[in-house]
Amino acid sequence: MFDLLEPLLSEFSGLDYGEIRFHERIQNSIAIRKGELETAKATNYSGVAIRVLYQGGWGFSSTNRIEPAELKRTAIDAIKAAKVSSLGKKSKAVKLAEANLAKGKFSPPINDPLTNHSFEEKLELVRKVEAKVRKASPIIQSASVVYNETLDKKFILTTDGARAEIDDAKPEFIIYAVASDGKDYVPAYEAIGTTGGWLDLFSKKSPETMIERVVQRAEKLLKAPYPQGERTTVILDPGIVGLIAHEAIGHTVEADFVLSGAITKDKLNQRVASELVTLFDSGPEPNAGGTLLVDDEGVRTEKTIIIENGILKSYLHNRETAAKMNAKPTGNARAYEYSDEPLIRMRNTGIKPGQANLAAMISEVKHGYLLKSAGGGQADANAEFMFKAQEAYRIENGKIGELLRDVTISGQAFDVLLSVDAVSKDFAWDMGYGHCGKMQPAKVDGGGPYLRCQAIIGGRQK
Amino acid sequence: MIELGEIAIKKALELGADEAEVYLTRGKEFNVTIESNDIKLAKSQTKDGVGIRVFKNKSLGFASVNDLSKSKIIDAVINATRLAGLTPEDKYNQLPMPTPLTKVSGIFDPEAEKIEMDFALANATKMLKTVQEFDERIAIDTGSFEATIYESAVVNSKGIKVSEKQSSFSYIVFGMATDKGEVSCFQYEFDATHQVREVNVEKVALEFAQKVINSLGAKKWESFKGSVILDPDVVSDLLGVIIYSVNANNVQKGMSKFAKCLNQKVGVSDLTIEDNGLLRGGNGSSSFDREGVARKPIKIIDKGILASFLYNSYTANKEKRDSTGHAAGGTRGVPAIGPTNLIVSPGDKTKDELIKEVKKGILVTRLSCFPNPVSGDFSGVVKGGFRIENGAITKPVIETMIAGNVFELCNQISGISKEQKRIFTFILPWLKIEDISITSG
Repeated sequence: MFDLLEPLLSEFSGLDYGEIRFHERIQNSIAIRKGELETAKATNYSGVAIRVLYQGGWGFSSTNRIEPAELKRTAIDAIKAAKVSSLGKKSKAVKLAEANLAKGKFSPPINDPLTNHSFEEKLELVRKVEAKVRKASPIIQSASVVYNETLDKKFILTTDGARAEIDDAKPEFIIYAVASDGKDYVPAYEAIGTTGGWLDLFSKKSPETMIERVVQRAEKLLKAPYPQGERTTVILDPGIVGLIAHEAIGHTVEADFVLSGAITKDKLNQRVASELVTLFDSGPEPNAGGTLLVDDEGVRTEKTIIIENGILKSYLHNRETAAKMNAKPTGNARAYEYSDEPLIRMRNTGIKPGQANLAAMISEVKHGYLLKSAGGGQADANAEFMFKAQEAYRIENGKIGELLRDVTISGQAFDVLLSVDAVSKDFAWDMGYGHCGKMQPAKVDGGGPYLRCQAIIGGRQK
Repeated sequence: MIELGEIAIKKALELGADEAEVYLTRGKEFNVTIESNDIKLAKSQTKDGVGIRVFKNKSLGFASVNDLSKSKIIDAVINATRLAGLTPEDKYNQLPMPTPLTKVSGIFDPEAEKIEMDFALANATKMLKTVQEFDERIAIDTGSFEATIYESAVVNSKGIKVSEKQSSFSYIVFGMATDKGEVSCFQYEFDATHQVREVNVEKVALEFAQKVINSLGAKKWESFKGSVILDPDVVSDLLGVIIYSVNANNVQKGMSKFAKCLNQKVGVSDLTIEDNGLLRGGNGSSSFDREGVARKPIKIIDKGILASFLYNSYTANKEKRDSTGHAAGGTRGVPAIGPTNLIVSPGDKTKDELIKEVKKGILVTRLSCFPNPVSGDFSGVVKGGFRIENGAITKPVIETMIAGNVFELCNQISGISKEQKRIFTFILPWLKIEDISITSG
């Protein structure tokens, strides 16, 4: 492939920068719902993207035809586009920071490659699990089970020396169940996702454990009352800590947001969280859903410490924002597919474990909630975040009480992080089935220990 | 494209498939993006796609590739047919027959063929300038202007052979305001149209700018149960629950609360929701659906009564009825079910009259929220919300959440505005709702 792409670099003379990225994406998917096969598919989405910089203006073009004449035409289109965007650009002084550019072959650790397992085996697993969920309890009205795998191959070349060949595999397994008493309908889900092979995926949780949990959760939620809305003490599980790290802080430190004026703008080296909090975003993390060894600008990724013992230490950068803010690129430029341009995105975002013991953390709470199993979330420029938890248990006088349904948590991220008064010794990545949306999707993960803080619980008023 | 489809069908049948369907698309786009108050990138590209669905002994196989070359299409046909040999049989796996199409108008503008990158740049620049001239406290975080020409075709072994061209211009601006150390919440505004002459980036830019400035100075309020006025943007978020619940697949699989509610009262008698895929110039309009079945208007909720579910051919086969023409999706997946243009009928009062009726409540212009589509429960953070006290909008609110249930909400509507707003493929009024839980402070 390099032989085909390399000659294109000569098209970029007279430009400030050029980047060529081949990305082949094979996705296979099986979905069964209530005993019926809904999807059995094999898709291929592949092509070459060319991105160039000319006098402050970026130009981008892509093609699905990997042949010399077509590639050349695409390069010319990208250059033409850069010249147009340069015309509209106010600040023509765009520079790219020096970076640790990737050279060579890169692949995450893979235990038992997905290709070792036949389509028939995967179909049979999905079929069996789905049937088991439905038969597990008479109140399970319906179930669906999905297996997805994404196999990526990339070649990245830049005019300043990146030359990387990257292989990646990301499987996901999702169980969804709906409980009903004929009047009320309540869903629950269990999901896992990672980077790696078959063993890496199912070492997270076995299908049996997932079945048990999803059925129990759906059953319990059907009878659960709604919470009353209030500002109170909450203990978050590792998946939710990942979600808060991602939504509440992660988005606000993406350098493009910072440059636009996000609330983190002038907070570098200032206290933004309790000293118990060390928060990071890491590319080369083993067995996590957002693992990325080389970003889509050809930069080697690293573990970026965002908050260290409560002090804001770094933003998340691409090469352009790093140059603008006099920082080191952090390897956060990511493009979802070949036809997308790289944007600043997170990878695996988490909080470092502390010293506390979960049981003690619970016993110290007079009134509050234990929140488990992360749902969706959103961030904001003013750091007012929100996210959902599938399970919220009331804590009264140090004891876990009843389960409540449909809980949404909100707060101002920095107020919430400053209120952290206990961080447990545990650690898990538990958001690897999730996608983050910011103009394009991105595969991310989140995780951490158990953490205790103050937040607002949305709920019903009497 | 039809010819390529026919070649693929022939190949699938040769390989032993009993039925085959090919969905082909080709799109050309010019896109200019804005980032951190400046033009960022210009993008021009062509994207192709082909999705092949085959049934072999009533068993499903699907494959897709983003390439319209004959050899790649044949590879995908081989792949789909191979999968169909491995999956379980399902007697409802049967492709639709041709239906007479009503040609929808206003979705392709020949002027769009002449558009080049400079048109996208001029519009993105105008959007940026309009916002910046409105108030220097506003920052555009991201924005884009995109011009697309898109062609799609469906060919199947039962005789469907349809194709259509669309042009589309879509533009979005997203950002916040900063004032003396205060950062507002994010706001955004967007619109889309098929017609060059209807492109109006200034309107979007001004609406965005006004929204952002209005959300500065927001303060916490108090917790209570009261009235809320929902902006069409918020209505569109909550409407997701209704869309999920009228999806015939969710109904048939026991995942919809509406499963046993057909022809029953599910909302106030002023509530009428229609889906019209043939709306002239509608952003969700097309003459045929993802399976090549004719689009037609359909009432989903008629004066508070649940009138119909949305079907594709698979779910229609199960009930031995016709598809409603709501097969949805792209080339990369098996046809699912989705709405086209969703229209909530207007009421008889103006938005201002609705606000005047509220003693104590809030106006919600954006809600950060993931409603539970199965139970209908929602609990979200109010963004760009305002206190309404004694019939007048007073101050913006922050750190405020509202919670309720969408199914209950349909019965708590106490007012629907005369005015409607286009939210991409939805056309929606403002709604006044009673007895909503508001948590703040």
